[in-house]
Formats: sequence, structure tokens, C-alpha cells
Amino acid sequence: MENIKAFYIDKFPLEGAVKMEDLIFYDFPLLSRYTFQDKNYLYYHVDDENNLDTYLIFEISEYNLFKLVSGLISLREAIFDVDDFVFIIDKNQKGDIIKIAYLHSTRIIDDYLPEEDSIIEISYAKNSFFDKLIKKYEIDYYTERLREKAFYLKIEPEQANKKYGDTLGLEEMVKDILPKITDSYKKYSQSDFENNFKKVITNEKKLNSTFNKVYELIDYRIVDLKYGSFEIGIASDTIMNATKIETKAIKDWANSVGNNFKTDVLEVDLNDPVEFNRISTKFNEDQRAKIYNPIINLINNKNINFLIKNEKTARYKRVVKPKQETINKLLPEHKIAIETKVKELDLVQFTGVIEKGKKISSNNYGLFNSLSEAHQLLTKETFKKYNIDIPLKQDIPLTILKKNTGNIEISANYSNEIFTVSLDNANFDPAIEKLANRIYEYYLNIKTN
Amino acid sequence: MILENHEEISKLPNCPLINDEKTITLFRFCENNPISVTDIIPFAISKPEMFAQECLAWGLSLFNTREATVKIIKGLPTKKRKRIIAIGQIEVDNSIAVKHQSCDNINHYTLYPLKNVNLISKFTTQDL
Repeated sequence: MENIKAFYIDKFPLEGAVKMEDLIFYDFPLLSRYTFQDKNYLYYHVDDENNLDTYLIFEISEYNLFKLVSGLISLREAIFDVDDFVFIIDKNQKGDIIKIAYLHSTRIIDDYLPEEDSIIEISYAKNSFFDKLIKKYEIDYYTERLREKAFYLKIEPEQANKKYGDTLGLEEMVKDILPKITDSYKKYSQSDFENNFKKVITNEKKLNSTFNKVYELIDYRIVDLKYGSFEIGIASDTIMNATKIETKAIKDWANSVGNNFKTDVLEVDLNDPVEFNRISTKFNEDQRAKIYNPIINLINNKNINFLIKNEKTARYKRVVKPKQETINKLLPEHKIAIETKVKELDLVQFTGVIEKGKKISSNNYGLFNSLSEAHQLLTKETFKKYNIDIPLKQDIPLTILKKNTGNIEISANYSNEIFTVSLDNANFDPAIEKLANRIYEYYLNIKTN
Repeated sequence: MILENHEEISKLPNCPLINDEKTITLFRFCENNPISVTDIIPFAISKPEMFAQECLAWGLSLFNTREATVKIIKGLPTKKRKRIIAIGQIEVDNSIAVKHQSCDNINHYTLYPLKNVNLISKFTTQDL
């Protein structure tokens, strides 16, 4: 061996190690796995001068061995990852060890190291040691890789609202907060996909169906979770995408959209004119409304703090709240985010006098002019009023929406199905009856089937 | 077919394994350009005490692609890698050698030259 600074010993501590397989073979074994006391060691042939064979010997964890034989790390990286002492031994022509040095892995001379991209290529039989090793660790590796690239979101109760400590209500989280984030992400990726590919995929139907296929793959993966206050680590799946999307341009887009959403929506300071212009150029008014409304709603929710950080060890910072004047510029006036609250409303009927022959519309009366959206409940009593007997575990929430056309739309969510009726005047009763009957028909259908 | 070093090889059980009959282009890295006899000495000859009983050591390692050969070079330690200056290419048919895929690398072949074949002359060598 070369004259190296090391400790020299007489007895080889791995005496009795058993050779298992060769990982590199060229005329003779250049890299082999040995086991000793249930640990794995690699014997790497590094020199052959003066009729001596010199080997660098180092312990390797199962996980690093998995990464090495899977081509996920190079041999050089595996050696540098040792962070412990390694052995360098000289063997004579008979195979006897005649010199033993040990030194810290950081002191290995370059002459004994492979190239940066020294990737091992190995074919292993089914049920062999390496086959089992890869099956054992590939899922862990997948999660670990995603975790390395994850960013973290934290939702915590506002200081003044810590009635239950740091904990958050499950229903609020599942029905309100998380849907806003996922809705914004879906609208962002859809808009971005359209902007990027509408010139290539000119058929709108095909554009939409391509996006729907890709969306399944770009959905964020949850790679970390902490309860109490709600912390979630999410990452774009660039590992599976790499194998499932064939078109390079779409694959590149899919690999970056998750990170771009973070940059453009969650981390952006829209109060900064440069950033504001960038976003305004990137997305049109309609797209911006769909993307930013849910997030602005979250930021404006006075009951929670919405925080983000770039990696597990970083510090959380608040998602930047846009000023009202920024929101006014960002979103078209009629689409400014309004935090809706469930209000207990009663249906009332008015009797009025209007000019004969004039059509009645909600605008005539200014009804709902103060609300763009309101909520009330469809109760068992309401059904009874229309002679409908339907078992209800709970009241059905109704959403009443005044459309820009002046029409009013009432919708109900029953058993995860949305039922909608429209009315062009303020006579609610027939509309509610129609809605109740549709729900009853649906109930009878599923009962029969 | 009589192999080079036939006498010694025939003493080893199942050596060599069954010949791959196809004509294949194979690659071998070397320390000389053009490739020289010192590049094709089997380890069973150069280090008999350690390798004379190893069947594969009576053969020579070659790869079925240039890329696979370069990969192996990158895996060599710097000191040995510096000596490699070229890659030899050879069209191997049954009149030259017995060959078969070997070791846990689908690109790796072991080649046993036939007796009296001038193997060096069959190679074309290119700088690395």
C-alpha cells in the first residue's frame, strides 16, 4: 500500500469474515461483500503494486448497500458515507494479510477512491440477498426522497382562540381548511397546464382529459404529519412521475408544478409590485380568482394561523396576507373572496304590489342584494310540509347563491350528491318543494337498488 | 475446440461453462493502445497461487457494450484508473474463443481464447 498516515495494527479485526458476493468483477473480484458478526463489509481492490494486493475495507449499512446496488448512490458516496474507521490491508501472493492499517474514512487518499459517478451495475436473481434487500428498502427510500423535497404547512389556532390548546377541530380541517388548499392547487395546476399546453394540444376536450390524467400523478403526497396543531409535509412525486409520464414536456411540467404552486401561491408576497406583475402576467383574471380565492379565505380566517416552511428543519413563517388594495387589483371585483358563514335563516314570503304585467325578479325587491351566498337548512319538517316522509340523520344544508344573471340557485348536498334548482324570481316555496322531491326520488332509488 | 491453457482448465470442474454460440461484439479496457499481450494475461497465470483454482480467472473479462465497460472503469480506484488509456473491441465467434455471460452483471462475459489464436490481432483499439 501507499505510505499513508494511519494506525498500523498486527491483528486483523475482521478475521473470519465470510465472502458473500462480488459486486464488481473484472478478471478477478474488484469489489465484494463480506459479512462479519451480522454486519456487511465491502472489500475494494485498490492497488496491485509490488506483487501485493491492497484492499480498502469498510462497513456498509444495509440501507446504503440497498442504495448502492440500486444505483441510487455511487461507490464513492458509499465510501464517504462511512463516517468511521476503515481498514486498508495488503495481501501477498498467497492471500495472506501482511499489513493492516486503519484510518478515518475522511483520510482515504484519492488514489484509492473511485470516480464521482461510479455507479454499480448488478443483476441479481429472484430471492437472492440483493433482491430481498431492495424489496425491504425501496418503499422507505421512496418516502425518504419525497420527504427531502417536501415543504411543510402548519395550521394552528389563533392565540386568542386556543380554547382547546393547540388542537383543531377535525371537521373544520377536513371540510373547510384542507379543501381550500387542494382546490387552489388543482385550479393552479389546471390553469398553468392550459397556459403551457393549449397551443400544443389544441382540442379542448383532449387538453382537459390529458390534464385529468396527469393530475392524478401530480397530486401532493403526504410524507409527514404532526397532530395537535396541524402540521403536514407534502411533496410532489417526481419519482413515480419519472416512469409514468412519457411526454418530456409534460413530465418536466409535472415535476415542477408542485414547487411552482408553493412559490406562486403560498410563498409569494403579492404586495411586492414585481411579484404582483409576474402573477398577473402568468394568470388571467378568471384563473387568479380560482387559484387565490381559497387561499385568501384561509389567510383571512381569524380563527387560525396559516404558516409555511421550506423544509423540516426550517422555521415556519406566515403565509403573506395581501393588502385589500392588492386583492382588489388581483381579483375581478365580483369575485373578491367573501368568507361565508352558516347563518340560521327562515324562509319568508312577501306580498307586494307591482305594476301589472311587470316580471318579478329578485332585483326588483333588492332581495339577496346584500348577500352573494347564504346558507340554511332543509329539515325533516320541511319535507313533511310537502308530504314527504324521508329518514334524515341530520338536516341538509342548503346553499343559496345569487348568480350574476339575477337568477337564484339553491343547492343541497344529500348523501354526497349535489341537487340544484334555479329560480328567476323570489318565490322560494316551489323551488324548495322541487328540490325536496328530487332528493326523495334519489332516496327511493338508492333504497330500491 | 482446444482452449489456450487447456491442460489446467480441464482439471477444473464445469470449466468453462457452456459456450454462447452467437457471434458477439465485446469490449475490454486496456493499458496500451494498441492492446498488447500484457492486457490479456489471465489472473490464473499472473497470480497462480491465488487464482489457479478459479475457473473464471483462466478467462478474460469483457463487456457487451462500450458503456458497460466505461462504467466499470469509473468504479476503479484512481490509481488503477489512470493506467487505463483505451478500450479494445473484438468480434467473437466460435473460431476464436469460448465465451459465456458470467458474474452478477448481465453485460459481463468471460472469454477463453482457443489455442493458437492470435487474440491481439482480432482487437481494434480506441483511445478512451
